[in-house]
Amino acid sequence: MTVRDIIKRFTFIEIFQGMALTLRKMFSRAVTIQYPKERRPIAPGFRGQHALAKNPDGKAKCVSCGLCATICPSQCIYVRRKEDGQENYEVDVLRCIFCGFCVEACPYGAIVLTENYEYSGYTKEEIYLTRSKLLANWDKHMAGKKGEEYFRKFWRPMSGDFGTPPAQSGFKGKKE
Amino acid sequence: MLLDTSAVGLIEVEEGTKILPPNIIITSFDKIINWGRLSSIWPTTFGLACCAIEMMAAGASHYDFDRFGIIFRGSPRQADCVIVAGTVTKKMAPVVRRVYDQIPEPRYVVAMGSCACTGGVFRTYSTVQGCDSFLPVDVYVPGCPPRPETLLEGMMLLQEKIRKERARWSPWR
Repeated sequence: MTVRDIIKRFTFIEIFQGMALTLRKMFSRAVTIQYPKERRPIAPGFRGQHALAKNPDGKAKCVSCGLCATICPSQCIYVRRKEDGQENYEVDVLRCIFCGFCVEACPYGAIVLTENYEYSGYTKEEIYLTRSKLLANWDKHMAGKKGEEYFRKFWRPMSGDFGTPPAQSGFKGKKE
Repeated sequence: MLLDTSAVGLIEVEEGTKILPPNIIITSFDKIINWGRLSSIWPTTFGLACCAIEMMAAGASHYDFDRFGIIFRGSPRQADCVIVAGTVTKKMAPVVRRVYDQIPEPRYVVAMGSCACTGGVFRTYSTVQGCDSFLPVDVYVPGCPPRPETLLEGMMLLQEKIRKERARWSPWR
């Protein structure tokens, strides 16, 4: 044991250092966020509750191809198709792990993950999302500019991949 | 009526709660017992996976469960509620059930996160598909894992549920 250690042990210098920290924190601002009144700003691109995207004319973009249901690792998306269009689109949110694969896979940019995180409930049925609820979520959380910018900001728009690159040979339309 | 209040008059502050000036408050057993219960929910910690980290974050100073009177207890015998946070495997399920059984009445269950609610991504032979298969779940908190705010909201929903209870204190319930 060195002299330094002995001095440390007898003068309680480390305890006083700790106490000084405690005292300093007493005069600093409290870090607590008073949750129901104030909220921590959500990070951009937060993956929360689902919504089905709508066109500017108010129709769902989804064509029920079922790519999202196929790629979903927890298999929580159920797509049912009618002869002409979509019958139902259901997301079992309680199974979802918010990986965002569905958003990534969708060629039409039809499903989004909104910034809503407050949807706890007393029953499973409350939280289960049907098509009408998903479309209502879009109006509620993604309306206006937010929804338009969503894909460009956080996801590579997959619909861009379907065009023919200009360098590639192919039918470019009739020459006038 | 035992007390003649016609002279002073009762002031009704809210439904079922009256104040006899200057400082006598009259209310029903339901109200005062429910109030006591909802403002001191002591959950027993049952962290099974990553949800437990968010549960700890909710208990720490940034979100601060103590503001709502929610104080984590290590022992189920001192607790009112169990927060099932994480994947319940079939091997762990009897233990969760035993912890629940050790909680004295009235007891509540909060299923936190996708795994505890439905089994989540683990559609496997070894995972219980939702802890509601062996526990009476009161509040489902979705998310993977839920934000601390979501858990706080879930606890506030539980408080609202307790507030609406009728005669849970009585032996004839």
